[in-house]
Amino acid sequence: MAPQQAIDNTQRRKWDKEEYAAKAKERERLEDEKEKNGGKIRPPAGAIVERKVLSVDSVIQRDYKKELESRVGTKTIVNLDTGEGLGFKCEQTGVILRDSIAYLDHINGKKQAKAMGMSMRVERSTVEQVRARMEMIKNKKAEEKKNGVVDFNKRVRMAEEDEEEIRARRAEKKKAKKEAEKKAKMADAPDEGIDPEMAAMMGFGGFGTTSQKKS
Amino acid sequence: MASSTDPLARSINGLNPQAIIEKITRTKIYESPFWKERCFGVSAATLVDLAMNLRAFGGVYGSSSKATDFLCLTLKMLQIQPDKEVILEFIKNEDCKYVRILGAFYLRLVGKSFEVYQLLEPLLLDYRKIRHQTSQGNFELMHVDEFVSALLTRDNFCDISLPRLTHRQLLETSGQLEPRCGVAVKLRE
Repeated sequence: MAPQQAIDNTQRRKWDKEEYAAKAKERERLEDEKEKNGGKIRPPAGAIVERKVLSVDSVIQRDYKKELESRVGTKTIVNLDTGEGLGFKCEQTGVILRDSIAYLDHINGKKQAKAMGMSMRVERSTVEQVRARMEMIKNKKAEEKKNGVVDFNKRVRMAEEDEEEIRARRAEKKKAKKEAEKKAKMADAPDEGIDPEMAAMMGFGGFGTTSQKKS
Repeated sequence: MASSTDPLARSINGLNPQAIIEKITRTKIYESPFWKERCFGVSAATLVDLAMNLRAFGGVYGSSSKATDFLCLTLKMLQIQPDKEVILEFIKNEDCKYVRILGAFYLRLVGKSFEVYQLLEPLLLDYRKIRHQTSQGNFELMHVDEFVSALLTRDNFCDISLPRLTHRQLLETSGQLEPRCGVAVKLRE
């Protein structure tokens, strides 16, 4: 007796297996191509990926203030198709975020950790580590305090030098302005009436115009 | 996630340790820029840096109830649940008063009653000044002993409702604690 043919009498939607198999093949082919062209290499199926431990040292230390506030008051051109220039762009994952809060959330999020190859679990530290850290910070603070006095005098000296420089520059500017004015006056006024000796006495002797006068 | 508890953390009173801080306050902490910028990936050792740079303590402040850095660090400690020795190290350290009060506060939140009495009562002899950031956002002067006294007597402090503390007399009668001996008595002996 021949096996009874199964009859599909359900109304359920069926997967078109061939279509999806073709799609999967196409995707794999594209990924292979990408890999050949120096793209990211996929880990083999079922492989255990070891991730870095999450700690402050492994997290990228960011100067958030600088990063987030540096663009205040600037203008950018937004590409509406790609979203380029809109809000903040994460360098690691290429995600575009609308505001700084969303950006910070993303930076501390799962997607970012995955992109960086990090686990989301923080390493547990021992008492010795804590003790060492405390000692280190204490010493650092003490040293800063000690160096602070020296630094203060140094800072005062530096400020004085700066001020002197500014004063010198201002004086130079003033002098240059005066000279230019005098030059203009000279060009306007007729030369004949001025005796070169007299001019020297009045303080005009050293000007570049003397050579013109003699000729 | 940045807001999840360490998987190795012990539950406290059958709850996630973070649940000690009420939901609304916790949300304010998660929203604070200090939490987002500085408290990510922090372990007990790196927490010391942040704690040593504290300049005041307090709960939430301002019209939008912003969380203070002190509160952020408290939540971080609940999250990573440092070892008991680490907490003792915090409390026993003499140099940094804010590290000490942070440790004391954390111990009050998670410690057993007799531990709280045993470890916090000696701090009543610490008369150093500390800054308290009030709910209006301005600062007022307090002292470490006032802080500890508030921990031992009040049931709500820094916008966190403190867990119930067994009465001292009960612990004395059950033999878990020695009767408290004040400074004056010690001096007379």
